Order: sequence, then structure tokens, then C-alpha cells
Amino acid sequence: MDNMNITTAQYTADFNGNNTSIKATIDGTEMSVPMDPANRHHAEIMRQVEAGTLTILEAD
Amino acid sequence: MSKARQLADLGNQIDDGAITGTNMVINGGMTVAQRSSSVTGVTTAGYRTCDRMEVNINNLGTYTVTQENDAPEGLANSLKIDCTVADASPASSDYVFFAHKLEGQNLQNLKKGTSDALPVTLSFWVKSNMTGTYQVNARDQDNVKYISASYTVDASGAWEYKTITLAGDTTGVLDNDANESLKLEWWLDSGSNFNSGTLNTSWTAASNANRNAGATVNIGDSTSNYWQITGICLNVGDSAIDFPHESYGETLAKCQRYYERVETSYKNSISGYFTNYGNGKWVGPQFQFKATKRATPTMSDLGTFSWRRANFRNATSTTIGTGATGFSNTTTDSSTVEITESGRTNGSTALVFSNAGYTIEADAEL
Repeated sequence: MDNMNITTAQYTADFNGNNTSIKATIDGTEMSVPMDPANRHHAEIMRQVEAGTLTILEAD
Repeated sequence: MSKARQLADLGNQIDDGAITGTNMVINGGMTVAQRSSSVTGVTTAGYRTCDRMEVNINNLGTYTVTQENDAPEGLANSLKIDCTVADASPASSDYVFFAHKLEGQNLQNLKKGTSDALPVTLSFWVKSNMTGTYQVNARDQDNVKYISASYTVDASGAWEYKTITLAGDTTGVLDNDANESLKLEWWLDSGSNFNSGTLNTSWTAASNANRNAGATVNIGDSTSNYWQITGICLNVGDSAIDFPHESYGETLAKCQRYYERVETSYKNSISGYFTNYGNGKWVGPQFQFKATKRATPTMSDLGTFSWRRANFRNATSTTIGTGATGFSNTTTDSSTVEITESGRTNGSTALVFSNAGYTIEADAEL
């Protein structure tokens, strides 16, 4: 029942173009969220993506 | 009580594991508050003040959450939730509750899901202006089950000690991993989605309607309302152990498995040779966390900072970044700072330093 307010989400890629984390604004704070399903922020981002309420932008 | 009775009770506690057991709750004395000692205007869920303690709010009033120096004798601190904007008519999906989450691998001694499942006893001190009946739940997150109990606050504004024994559960093994398996919930207010069922005092399939069905108080009713808690202990056995005191350092180290704040107070606090990987980012040297994290942490920095790249001798350094930076190569043990500066050559190296104090958060909370 975590109700995080996630307003932006964009993948961050390494030099080889592999996505390594998600830069997201959560409850007003910019965070670097790892690609770890055990991380609560990652889990909530994926839950909101699955629910269709959040889109993760591709890396720059 | 006779000596014979005391010895019999002692034997019973040993059989239940209570004497050899420890407090499974981390920071139950509310002594550690790495994030802040006071946060105002709280309207959403999150870890606000005391470490490992989550305040869950969904569209039901506004609160100030504080770490207080007010506590019953023998304890030093408490966590207080104080209503500052009331909502006496919550919508059906609204709620306020306080929670503590535990890892499955730390609960294997409960033998949950076996015929030898052990009871646990939850004890805590509570203080509120709101007399009446409250509900507390233990939620098995792996098997989506609940067991609940009620407790009463009998006197307004006085510390009261509560103990609640929860039966062992012979079905539903808890996962032996680093994820959330058990959540303790102290409900404070809710809409009808959470209070239209019944209070279940035995393990049963989770139903939102039952989560606050046994309560008669609502913290969001009035800005006069507050609720405080401390001395939380969860131990194996059918009787409460005395709250096991530990040093601040011991508790802090336990909390840092879940959340760590690195604060520095002056320029050059992070400095070193950063390498440019050609994608416009300087990547700094790895810094080690004080404690290995439960999972790969979310990284963030707080405040506004200035990063500078050193130039040749006697030349002024160049400001290369202000505001938020990024992080990369984060593991459960370490991370690196990333600073953006376009136009640098791939593979180049430079001495980069922060031009002010710096604060970094690593969050691996459940």
C-alpha cells in the first residue's frame, strides 16, 4: 500500500548503452533507483508501469 | 507470586524461546532518526523520522511526525504522529497507520508454517489523547494472511504498556530471504474499505475490510489528536520480555542495513580522480557504505551542490555541475558519484571535488 508519488522516470545507461538504473522523481526527490526487484522504489515503479500510470523514458 | 510459580513461568518462557530470544524489532526504542527528528505536512506514506518506522497515510489529514524526547521511565525517545489538518469524513479508501516491516530470513525461528509454529508476543508503550480501542495487525506478506488484536488506551495523555500475544501459525512458511515477510501495523484511522469487516484474532486470509475493524478511534477527527509509541518489542513466546536496551551504536548499525545517510560539512568532502567515460559523465571513485545493505539501495543526494574540476597549478578550478548528480555502479556495499560535463574526452581523468558539504542517502528499506 505504498502510495509513492512518482512524477518522472528515465533509464540511465552505461557507456555500452545498457540500462543500469532509473532516474526518478519520487515524492519530489530525484533518486537513482537500481534495477533490483528487491528495492522498494524499483518495485513501485514497475507496479505503476504495469498499471499504466507511469512510463519510463529511454536513456539519453 | 510464589517462587514455585516464578520458576514454572521461567521454564515456560524457556520452552517458548522467550528467554533466549531477542527483540525482532529494530529501533523499537526510537533512538535512531537519521533522516530527521521532525517532519511537518506529512500526507503520504514514507519513513519520516525514526529509522525503520513507516507512517502510512492516504488522503486522510495532514500530520507532523516527530522523534520525541518524551518516553516512559527507562526509555529515552518516542515517535509521535500529530494531526495538524483534520479530515473527519474519510473516503472509503483513506487510511492512517503506523508500520514496521521484518525480513523473512530473520523470522525463521518462528517455525511458521510447521506443526511446531511458535507464538510471538508484541509489547509496546503507547500514549495518546484519544482513549478507546485500537487495532494492531501482523501481516504475513508471503502468504497474504493476517492475525489481529485490539488494545485500549485507557487514560488520555499517559504512557501505557501493552502486551499482545499472537498465536503461532501452522500453515504458510515465511520465505527465507531478505524481502519483507511480516508487517506489524498499528491502525489509527480509515475509511470503510478497512473497517467494515471483523477483528480476526486467529490467522486468516487477508482482507482489507478487517484491517481496522476493531477500532473506535480516529486520529484524523481533530487537530487535537496525537498518538505516540516507543519500546516496541516482538519476541518469541507467549509472554513479553523486558525491552532489551542496546547502545545507540548497535541500533544505528542495524538501521544502516536499510538506510544510511552520509553527511559531510565542508568542501572537498568528496574529492578524487574522476574518469570521463565519453558519455558526458565524470564517474568518481567508489565510496563504501558503513553497512552492507539489504538490497541494492536507491541513491539520492540532498540539497544543492557545486562540483569543480581542478585545473593546472595556479589556475582557478572550473565549476562543472550544480544541483543533483547521478550515481552508478551501485551495489549493496558501494556506489559512485556521477557528474555531468559535456565535451570531455572519453577516458580522460581529472581531479574533481565538491565545493560544499555533501549529503548522500542510500535507501534499501523494505
